[in-house]
Amino acid sequence: MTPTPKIVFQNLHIPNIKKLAVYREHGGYTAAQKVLKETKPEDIITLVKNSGLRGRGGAGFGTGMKWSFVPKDAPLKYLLCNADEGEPGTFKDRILMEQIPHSTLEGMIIACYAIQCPRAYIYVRGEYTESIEALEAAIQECTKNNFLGKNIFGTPFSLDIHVFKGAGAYICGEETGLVTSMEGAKGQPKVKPPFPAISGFNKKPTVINNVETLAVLPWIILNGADNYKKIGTEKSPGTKLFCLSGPVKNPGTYELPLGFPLKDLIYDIGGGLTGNLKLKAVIPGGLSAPVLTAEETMTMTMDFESLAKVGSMLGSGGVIVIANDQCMVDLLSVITYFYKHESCGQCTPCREGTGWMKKVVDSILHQRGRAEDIPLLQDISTNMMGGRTICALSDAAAMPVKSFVTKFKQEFEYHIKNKRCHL
Amino acid sequence: MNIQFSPNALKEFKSFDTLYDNPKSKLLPTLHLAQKEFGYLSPEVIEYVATLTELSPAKVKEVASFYTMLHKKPVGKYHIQICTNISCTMMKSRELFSHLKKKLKIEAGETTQDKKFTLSTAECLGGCDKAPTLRINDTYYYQVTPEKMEQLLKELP
Amino acid sequence: MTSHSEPKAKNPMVKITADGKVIEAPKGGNLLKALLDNGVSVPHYCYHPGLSVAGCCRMCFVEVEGQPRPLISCNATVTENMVVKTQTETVKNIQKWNLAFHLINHPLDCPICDQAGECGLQNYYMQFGKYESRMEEEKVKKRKVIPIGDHVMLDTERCILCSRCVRFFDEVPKTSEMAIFNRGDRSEIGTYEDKALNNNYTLNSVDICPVGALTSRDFRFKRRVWFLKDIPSICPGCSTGCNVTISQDPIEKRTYRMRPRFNEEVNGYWMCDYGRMRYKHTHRESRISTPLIKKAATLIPTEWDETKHELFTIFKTPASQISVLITPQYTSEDITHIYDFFTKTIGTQNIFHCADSHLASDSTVTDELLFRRDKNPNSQGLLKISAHYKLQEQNLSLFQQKLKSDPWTILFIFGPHDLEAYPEFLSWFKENNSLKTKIYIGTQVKHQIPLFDLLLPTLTFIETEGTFVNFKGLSQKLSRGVKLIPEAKPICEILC
Repeated sequence: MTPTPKIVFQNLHIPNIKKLAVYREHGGYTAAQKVLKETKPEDIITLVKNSGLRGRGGAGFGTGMKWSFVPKDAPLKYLLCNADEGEPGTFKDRILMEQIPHSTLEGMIIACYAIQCPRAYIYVRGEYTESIEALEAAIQECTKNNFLGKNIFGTPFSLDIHVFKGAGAYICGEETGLVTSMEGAKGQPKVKPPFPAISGFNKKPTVINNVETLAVLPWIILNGADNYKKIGTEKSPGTKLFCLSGPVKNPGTYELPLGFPLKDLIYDIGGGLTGNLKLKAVIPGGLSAPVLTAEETMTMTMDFESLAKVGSMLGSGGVIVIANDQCMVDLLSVITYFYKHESCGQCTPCREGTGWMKKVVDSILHQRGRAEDIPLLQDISTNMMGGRTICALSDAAAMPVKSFVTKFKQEFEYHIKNKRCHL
Repeated sequence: MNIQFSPNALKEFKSFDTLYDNPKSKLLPTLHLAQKEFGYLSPEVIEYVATLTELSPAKVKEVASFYTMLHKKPVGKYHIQICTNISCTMMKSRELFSHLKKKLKIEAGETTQDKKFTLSTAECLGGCDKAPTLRINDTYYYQVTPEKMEQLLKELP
Repeated sequence: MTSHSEPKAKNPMVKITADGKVIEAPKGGNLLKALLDNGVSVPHYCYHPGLSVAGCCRMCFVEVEGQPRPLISCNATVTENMVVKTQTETVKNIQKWNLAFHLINHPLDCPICDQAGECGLQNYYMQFGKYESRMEEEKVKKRKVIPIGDHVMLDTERCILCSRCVRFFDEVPKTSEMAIFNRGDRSEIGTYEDKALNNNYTLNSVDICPVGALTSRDFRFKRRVWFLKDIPSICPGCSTGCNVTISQDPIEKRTYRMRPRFNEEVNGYWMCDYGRMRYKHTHRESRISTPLIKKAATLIPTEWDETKHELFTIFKTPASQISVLITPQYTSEDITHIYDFFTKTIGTQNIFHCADSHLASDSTVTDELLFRRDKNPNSQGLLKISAHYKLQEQNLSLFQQKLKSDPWTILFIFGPHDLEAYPEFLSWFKENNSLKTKIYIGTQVKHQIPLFDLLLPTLTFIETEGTFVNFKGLSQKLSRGVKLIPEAKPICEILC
């Protein structure tokens, strides 16, 4: 397998890369210094826009475009780094935070300078104790060495970054859920408009970026937008961290150029399935992404547009491999439980729909299903999606149900008709 | 019974005002701090936090009840949280959970009589590539089989 | 007293189109409010013009030309020439499904739920639901019948989690006593540890609750709302003069509840719990039901003919011996009639009032929002009228002085209907011997004591048309409801 370019993982295996001194030795903070000393904020925004960098958290929104929505002359703005990595099947941000925490901080300095904000927070999910410790140690090192605080690197730009610890709620990974959580309330997303870039944290313009998105920035600064676009595809430039899990020989996180063939991720890099297992399905972008059949998997390339074309999504890049030893009804029961557990409960279609879908799937799983349950699941999921709710958790809950019941209909029908599992 | 932060905890609480522009932001950090100090968020603790943060007890309890990591009931010395989301389930975390239920003779969410272990399910902990993943208190354990679990439990002081 | 979601009144009105009809709305204002104010019916639960926007019930979807998908109207602002459609097939489908989502876990309590007949779920189901439910699974069960204070009963299972009550207690009395605990479909409305609500505005939460999750303990199981007739009136509890709607059963001749009526200037959308309970003194049990006359030291019910005869004799007494005391709980029309009758027809100047001129115009509220120190509804009215007759100086303390010194033999008292405003009324009557004949005109059976020689039942505020003048001098009209005591007579029929 020819080596592919590494951007955020280029220094991953260097011993002690957690330490400021080692990070600097390998080029760390060169980009941040260049930005603060030599470049205008608007030029950074233009550069990142031109690079085509899209959010790496799941939504894939253009990063430069997001920054450009922030009113330039607003007196107070915030940057929030979304480190509430909760999408099942995703475990990439923790590697960046635990092992190369300075890359996140450097990315934040660049982003905060671009939007001219003096205060930033990293909202880390509460369970990620090691990430929190690593980030806090890195922040301390930076503050001691004038890489954070007042007049960074002797320039007029000042920035302080604090870690904010979450407390166990997937919905706090939603941008405005994160903001509400930081405002001392339940992490319930806000109605939009207004969007965070106009009115976010404390009603001030706020940019929320994923850990990986921020970690990419130093490379783009040093190597330029054109070089970034040389990697990946036209509509999906750059690399992505893919998290491979399930019954494969080499599960783990791999940085690969966008457009990489999914089958190569599973069979070459991933080493294929363990034992005698055969591929049945793949969830390509974290649990919320509509499932792909084995057939679709073999021809799929991992980029935003190819996955969107078949009705799925790149999402967080969490690739969950499902083998033929799994019952799709059983898995859907596990999946629907997750969304029911995590729905914040604010708006009616999601709160009630997630619970209802779970109950119907369980009925099918426990041999109480009726033929009407299949169109029922399709109808419930259809009517929870597409802007019916305050945030996209409802869509995220509906998409797996819709795709499982549509693409693996025969397994559901078998349960209903035969009152037992086909396995 | 009067609940109060220790001097160190009170110092940490006071430092929150310098970290956040909005005083309301300190509620969640204060609840974390209170849980660390008092073990769990009993009604007395909730009322204490309400007084400290100048919020109504209803609002404090509302926030405390929303988050999975904030405990409204006491937990044992070791809180075992086993992921039962998709990747871990495919790697047999449910079987591990059943095994533990039998061994510790408790149901999900319950604590052993000697107050040593509390057993809960957890949603995705971000350890899918090393499934089954679980946490005991704040520490992650990976690729935990029932045998490995037995060993772990023996080694816990 | 304006609502939160509205811009200042000076926003210009612009034309927009709703379902093909051109309507006017304030530019930048709330689209849902604009539609509702113009009679366009858009279903909604969580929106309330007196509270902040939540956008969580997801019922108020509309289509706006130029927008890629339907949007909730409560979070949309009015822009000039916007074209809104509320009845497209897409919108109707969304409404039906979102109503269905509201109903899947809702308990079928209608037969025992007070909200029936004015229930948001029932109403919309009949309007655009009427589908066969596809929910065959077990419903989520939650706690029921939880008293949260003297006035409010909570049923968490019926709650549709619209959060109106939470926002109400946050934004209006600002006590933040209600919250929604937990997450997802385990979300539960309530107070902290089921503690009682502790403010003077708790019953407003019952008004705004679209379903039977919050109900009035006072009204609980008493009467089905479809038997009730609503009458607009003014609260007699204090000098604020909150606008109210009284609900009476005209056949049973009984009043069942009082609820606030919107008035931007006076009380907004709200009224206090104290004021709400003022209707109770109109009940038959509290009332003097017939004229009473004292014979051999006992009060005996009599006919109006006999009392007319008595009054005719009493009115023949020299005017200087006749005195009158009026409490500020009568309409301005009744008070004018009293002053007019006694000054002109009887010719006496011995007319005294119980109004306190300082208290009457005192604008300080003694609770979180609306309740004022003067517990009378028409002190300002009484003062104005007494001034017209140049008798404004003749107040209660002067009356008490003159009672000892002046040669009065007849006293007419127009007594208070709300005894809580005058708990000690009549306590200072113990010693007085010069008064030969004491006539009490009023409503409360508590005053039916042999101290008086003649007791004449009159009408309470619910049974009267007329005007109350509030602390600010604002005149407000009462409408006449059902007469609850057949023998009670209006003042103008007693004094003639």
